[in-house]
Amino acid sequence: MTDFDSDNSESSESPGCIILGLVIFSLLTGLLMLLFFVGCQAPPAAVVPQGPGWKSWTSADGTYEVMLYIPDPAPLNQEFTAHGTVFKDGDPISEAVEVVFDGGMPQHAHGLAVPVETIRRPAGGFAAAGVRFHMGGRWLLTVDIIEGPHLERARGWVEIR
Amino acid sequence: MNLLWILFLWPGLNANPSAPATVAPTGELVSDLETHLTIGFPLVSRSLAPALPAAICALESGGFALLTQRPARLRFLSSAGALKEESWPLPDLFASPRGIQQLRRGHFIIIDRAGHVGEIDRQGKLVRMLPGPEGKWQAGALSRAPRGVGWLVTDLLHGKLHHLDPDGNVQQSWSGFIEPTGVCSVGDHIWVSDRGWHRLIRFDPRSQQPDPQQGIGDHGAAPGLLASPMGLCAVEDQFLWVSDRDNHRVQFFSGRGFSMHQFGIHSMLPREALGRLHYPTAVAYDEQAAVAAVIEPSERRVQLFGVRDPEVPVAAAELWQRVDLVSHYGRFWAIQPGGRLLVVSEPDSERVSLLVRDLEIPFELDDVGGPGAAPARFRTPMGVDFLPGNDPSRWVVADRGNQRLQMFQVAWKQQPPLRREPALVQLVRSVDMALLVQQHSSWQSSVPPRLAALACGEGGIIAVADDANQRILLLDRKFRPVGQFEAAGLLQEATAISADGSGFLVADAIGGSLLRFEQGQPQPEVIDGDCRMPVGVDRHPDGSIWYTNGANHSLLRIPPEGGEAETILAGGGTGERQLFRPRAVRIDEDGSVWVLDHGNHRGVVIDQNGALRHFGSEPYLPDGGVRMRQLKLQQQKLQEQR
Repeated sequence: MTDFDSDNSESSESPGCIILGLVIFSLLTGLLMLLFFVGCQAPPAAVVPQGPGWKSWTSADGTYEVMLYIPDPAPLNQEFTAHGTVFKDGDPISEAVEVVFDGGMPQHAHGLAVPVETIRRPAGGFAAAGVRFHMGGRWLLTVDIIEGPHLERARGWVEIR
Repeated sequence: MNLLWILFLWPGLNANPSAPATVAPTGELVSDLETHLTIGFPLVSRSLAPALPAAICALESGGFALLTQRPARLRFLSSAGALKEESWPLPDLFASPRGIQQLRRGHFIIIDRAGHVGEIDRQGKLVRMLPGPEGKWQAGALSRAPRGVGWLVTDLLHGKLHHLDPDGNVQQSWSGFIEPTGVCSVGDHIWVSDRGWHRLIRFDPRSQQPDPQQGIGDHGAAPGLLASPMGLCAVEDQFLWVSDRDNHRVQFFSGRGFSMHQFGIHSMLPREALGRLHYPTAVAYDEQAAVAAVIEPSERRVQLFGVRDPEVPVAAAELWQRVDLVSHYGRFWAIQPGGRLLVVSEPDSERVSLLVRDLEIPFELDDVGGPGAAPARFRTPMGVDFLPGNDPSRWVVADRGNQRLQMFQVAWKQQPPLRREPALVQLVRSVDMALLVQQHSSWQSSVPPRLAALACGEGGIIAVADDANQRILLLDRKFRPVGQFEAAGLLQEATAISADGSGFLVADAIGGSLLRFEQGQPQPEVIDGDCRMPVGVDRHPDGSIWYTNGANHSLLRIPPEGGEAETILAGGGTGERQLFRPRAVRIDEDGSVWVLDHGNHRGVVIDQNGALRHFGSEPYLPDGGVRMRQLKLQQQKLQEQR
């Protein structure tokens, strides 16, 4: 009858334990090296999101690129979060820049039924939760980018069915 | 009888837990309120031309005292409408009076736009000067403080209200207003009318701070809403009259803030009185005679209103009906050089309109704005001009109440048919000028900027008047500071600006001069130092300078070689060659002259051959307008056929 447990117990004080320690040491060293290199490198180039629902706008004076996501197709009368990223000269805008998302139907002279608040996210991101297109038709969406005293607007139309 | 029922039901209908308790109605009060609620019968209209009525108050002995401007004088008007022939000149420091209140000893406290407070006697002689607020300020309105202890004055430069003691020393100040144009005390409460918020802001000075967000009213034409509320007048320490200027009416509010009554409606015919009002700015009330006096500087007159017979129905035209605060042709406009577009600043509706201008009647493609502080909205749009060399076309607007500039563009395809297209106009950018002034060291000032006239020059340089600091700020196309024009002693107010080659022409209505500024030159060139009240200016391609004169409703031309100005249009009226309170003048590359005939709600164009064309509000057109002409032609044809 083989007592595996006792074998194992005996093996813990054998050369196999040393090998296991060496492996763990190698892994930790590798991880540290990796972290070191990553830390020394410049931030990765901004990733421009693409795919269904993503819209790319340039602000009216060409200062900013706005990547805006709204579901495709945009839902009628359902809340969702509009979010995106703003770039300036190819880099995400700084944390100090304010971004304001809004929408409305100029032909009907109204805006969003419930005003939304836009929050900033890291790496040039922004998000506006609770957006709801309460009526079918053409909606005009705007993104205002505010840097100190200056405001510049990007805008675009979406058709809600 | 119905009025009695309304009165007794009123406290229940207006239940408001935060409102102060009011006195229970007595029989006398019922009678008085019934009287107040029937005011509106036009008694008499008195012209003060060429002077402008500037301020009015009721006299304890009955009747009214009123102050005029240009010339600055004190006059008296009885409640029966008799205007005393004698008038007394005001002291020199009070050339632009803004408020008057009677003292018990028969003297008056008066304030001037430039920030002077003084006591005068019944002959207008200065008795004493009062200190008033320290530093630079611009008086907007004057009233008695609650319980009659001292005075209340508003400061338009800083958006402040000050409580002065009887000797004119500041006791307390409140801020947070945009443009406090009127003030009065009702009971223990202070009421401020704010043209920027389009609200009445009520607060108890003992325990509250003014909160415009909790103000009464908002921009609009329905009863209880306001459009540029101006002068206030307390009634029996429980109610108040409000000059609802851009709604061309006077409203009566309860001490709880409910609109109970109104009278007045926009004139249908030019200069029409008899109950019609045109931009009323202040109201005073003789309680004993039950007569309200309303001043209308735009018409240079004062009207008296008395009690209507409650059994006689009010004429339908005077009842409230939904009125859109539509185009009135404000004080500023701009033409697209060599193009087809025209933009008009419309402070009445807090909008800027975009029109196609090369039609007999310009066609409105779109407008932008609405009241408020959100981007692309306005609080008193002022100067406007197209940026040169932009495709799509861009223009810049000075948004005075929001202390910012806004730039718009329109990508309009010039294809028929013309149709109105909402949101055709796009906001490009804006800049918070108050913040920009703080950030830019050479622009810093103790008084926040107050933006007015504007022009865009060569290279996209934008020149905007900062009336609060007697200077012109210069910015580039991205709204970055690039310089400023100042001229101590020469420039008092840049009432109008236009691009002139590498410089700018400036009309200074206060200083009565035409100036030309050039970047890099320390002093402006004085083109005309004695032209009374220039309110619009531009350079003609032939080198001549054209300007409008607000003092005598005229358009003048200074030849290219200089010398005496030639009168082109003149005379206060609606005739073909007349103007009424003209403002902006813009001249196209082809030499056509575009005059904004603000007081007539119309535009006047003089083409290269000297032919005149008018467009705008039809009753104000020389022959009733195109539609009237078409109607007459149709009638003629019908008669011929018969």
